[in-house]
Amino acid sequence: VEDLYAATQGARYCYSSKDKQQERAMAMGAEEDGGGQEGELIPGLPDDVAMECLARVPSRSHRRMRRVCRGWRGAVGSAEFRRRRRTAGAAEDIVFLVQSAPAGGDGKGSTPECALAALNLTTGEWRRVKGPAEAWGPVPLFAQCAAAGDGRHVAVVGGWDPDTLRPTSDVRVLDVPAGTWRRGRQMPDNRSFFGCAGGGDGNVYVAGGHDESKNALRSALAYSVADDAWRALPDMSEERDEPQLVATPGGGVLAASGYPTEAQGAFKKTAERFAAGAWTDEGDVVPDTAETCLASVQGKLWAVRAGKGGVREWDGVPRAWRDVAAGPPGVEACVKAVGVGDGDGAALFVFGTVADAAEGGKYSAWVMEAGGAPWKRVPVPSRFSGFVYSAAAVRI
Amino acid sequence: MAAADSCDGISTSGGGWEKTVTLVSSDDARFEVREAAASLSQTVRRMIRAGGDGGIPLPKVDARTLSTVLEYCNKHAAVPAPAPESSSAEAAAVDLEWFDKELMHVDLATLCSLIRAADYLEVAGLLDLTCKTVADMIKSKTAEEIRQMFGIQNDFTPEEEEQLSRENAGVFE
Repeated sequence: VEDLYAATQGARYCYSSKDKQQERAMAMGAEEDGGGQEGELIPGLPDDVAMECLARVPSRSHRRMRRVCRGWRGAVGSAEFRRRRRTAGAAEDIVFLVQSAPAGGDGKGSTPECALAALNLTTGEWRRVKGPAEAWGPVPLFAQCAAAGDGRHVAVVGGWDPDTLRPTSDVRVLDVPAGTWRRGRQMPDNRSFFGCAGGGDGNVYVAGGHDESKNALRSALAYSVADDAWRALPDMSEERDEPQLVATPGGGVLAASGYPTEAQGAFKKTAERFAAGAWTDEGDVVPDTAETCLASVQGKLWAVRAGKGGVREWDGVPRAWRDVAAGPPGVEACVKAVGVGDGDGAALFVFGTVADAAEGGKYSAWVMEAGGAPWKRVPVPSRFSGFVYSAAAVRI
Repeated sequence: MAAADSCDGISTSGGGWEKTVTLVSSDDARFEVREAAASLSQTVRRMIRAGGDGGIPLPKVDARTLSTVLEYCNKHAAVPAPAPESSSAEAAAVDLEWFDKELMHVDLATLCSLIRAADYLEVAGLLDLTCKTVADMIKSKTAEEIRQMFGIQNDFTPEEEEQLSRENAGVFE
């Protein structure tokens, strides 16, 4: 089956020392979701190796596993379980996309709709993620999504109410492995077209955009997914409407490009980095502002666009871009790029328009392992062939 | 050879002389194995280094299980590392995959013995293989079928069961 492929199976099983095993066994006692580990998970096997077995079961079976007994429920919900899945190379990479959904009804004058799509890069499956409850309404238009960086949660932030076309400050948090939603605390202001990214430190960062009077913003916010709390960050040095935000190593984000109130649509090349409580100017980082998508891959800043030399990595010391590879084959324009996974299995995912639209939908997706493997095309089913406003990746 | 005190013999294999070691199972069966194969077990490797004579005692592994473990080690240690992407590398990988698959055609009790042995002997590849095999047995079963397979008691209260049945399906379930 050509549609199925494994994008990020780089991680090999690695057997750690007995000391490590004891450490892990102790860590199991301190898991976050309760569920005792006293009994044997699998009769006849020490819990340590039973966990190794459980960790290798694909995610689609996890719900059934949670219903076996209390011990299994606790095990499958634990941070230790997630850690072992990664170590065993059994973790799956899920890419979430806020995208415009094909219009329902007669299509005449209907307002566009957005939906949250999920692509399991490990199995090639696509899914429409069901909303938390009908009362919440559909995903707001142009909403941003970001991974919390805890290997578990994705936040859907802001956007426009599809009925009133006014900005909303709603926050919804999806627990990816459990498939459950919760309402997050509302964003402190109603801003539109802000940049949004998970910092890899449990925070979702929001910066720039414009207020309800169409003034470009310098202000920035951080949302702690664990604490369900927002805090204001210092202002950026420049106004940035429609900026791109990407995670930087060690927790924090880079806010790049965007435009000021006075120069609508004139995207800047500058960027600034938030770390340790302050913004630092990064200078003219962004190349070819209009058609370049930025992404954080293996903790490095990558830029992607179509064509030769389309994929580049930022080297902060000579302050220059280094060519990594050509843009995805057949891409006309990149719509969204996001880094997937980490370590050896890290990859770059790109969603874009295709030049040869004749052969199918207008859009395609591609993935490239960071180690220098060739691009692989990811077929996009027609149901998911809509413009992407935001993307986030979670390894489960 | 101080590091090879526990090596009981030298044998020929593939045209060359190879060092062997003797492993002794819990039920006193003796297995003479190429050192290269036995060294896939980190536990054995450490004991070879520590030295000693009269064979390496493995009191936690019975003869039947140990012979399967050694079958795995012999096969996997025999494979040289050819240039990746060469056709012989591909053929060797396919062959190994077949071998592993055949080796895992065992009942659950045997599989659990193999897992315990692979864990104790620290044979990383075999532990991965056996755990994956158990994972494959779990993945297509319902909660009740999983309980039956392993003999696990359902310890949820009726209230918890009710709550579980209302639980959301994960994104890819």
